[in-house]
Amino acid sequence: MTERPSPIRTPDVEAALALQPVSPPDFAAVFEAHFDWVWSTLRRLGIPERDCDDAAQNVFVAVFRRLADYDPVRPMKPWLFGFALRTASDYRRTAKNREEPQADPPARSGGLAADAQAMAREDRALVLEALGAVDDDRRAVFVLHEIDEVPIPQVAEALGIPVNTAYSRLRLGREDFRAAVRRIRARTGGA
Amino acid sequence: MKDDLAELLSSERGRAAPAGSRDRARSGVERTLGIAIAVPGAPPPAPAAGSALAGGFAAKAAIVGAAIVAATVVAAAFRSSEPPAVRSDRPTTSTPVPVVAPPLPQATVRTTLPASAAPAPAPRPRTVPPARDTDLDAERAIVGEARSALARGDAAGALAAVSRHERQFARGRLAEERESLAVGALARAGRGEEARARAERFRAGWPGSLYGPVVDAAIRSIP
Repeated sequence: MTERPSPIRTPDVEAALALQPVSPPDFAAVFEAHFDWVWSTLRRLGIPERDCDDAAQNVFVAVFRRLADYDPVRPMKPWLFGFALRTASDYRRTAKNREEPQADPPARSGGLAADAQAMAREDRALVLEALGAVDDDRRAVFVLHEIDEVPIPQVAEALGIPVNTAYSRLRLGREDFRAAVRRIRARTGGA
Repeated sequence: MKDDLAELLSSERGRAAPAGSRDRARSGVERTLGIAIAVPGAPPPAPAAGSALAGGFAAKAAIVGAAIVAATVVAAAFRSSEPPAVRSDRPTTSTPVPVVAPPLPQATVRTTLPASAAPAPAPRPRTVPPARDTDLDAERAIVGEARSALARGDAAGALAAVSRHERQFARGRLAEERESLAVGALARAGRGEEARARAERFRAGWPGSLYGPVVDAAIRSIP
């Protein structure tokens, strides 16, 4: 902290910041409120279901250590998304080394889903498989905007990329996704 | 997105993790960090339902911290629930306070952890209900006013709200956000020199602020 300018007085801010490193009292609340979303986001970013529990654990360990950096007046999901993204990217790197299959079984035929629940399940499987066909960078923008409905300017900030780049990745991500859905539906005979 | 694809994507929204995942991950986090995470009786409706970390933190720090963080996290939760209502493919003008990218998590694992390892978590560590923080509410209302005014291009309105906040809460908890908005409003009002001077003070007062990029963008927008 350099010299303290007169119109901006900082003691309260300093006090609050000084408090945070020793006292992240809301970590449990963050965990409870966002666990499902973090888990699902990891899934959308390409981590197979069997590894999502471990990956979510890694995310929250990192979140705990960085909680003091979180600015509470800002929306939390875009902030958490950064952790999920890094975890997913680490995962892909090590998964590649192990050369294990990453994908779950492909979506089954959407032909005669007996009930809405089964259809929703198949839709999800289709979405996840199609997401797997989207380029990583594009997918991050696509997921945060199309599924989490975060406005593009915020997506750009969260990912640390220019807004125009975010728009362009969104457009390309949509193309990738559409093409993948068409391909999967053609293969499975779904509607 | 085309309608059928939008519907398809909506199937993926609000999805829950499989049963047991949460408990497994919670145990894993507890083991790794050597802490105990309070398990709520029921999932709290909002991020700040008051569950507190059952660590060995000084009671006072925990309570004060909980009040500050809980109140502000609630605010963040409300705010973060706003965007879905306004699905937009175009950049809105409401970018005075966008989300700033967090530094990505470090890959390195630190071994120094906050003093914790609470040997015996309190039987019911949760529910320290967040104290109603009326000052923070009042601050937030004024800063919110400034933000909305700036978002609709009303620099004068934004500056009026900024001044009001400055008078009532000169050392307020949202002073940092207020000052970032002040820079934006001055720039918008065509008062470039004042905007630059205020931005200087802002950077000196809050080096490394998450609002830094917002302030920089405002200064860059000055013709």
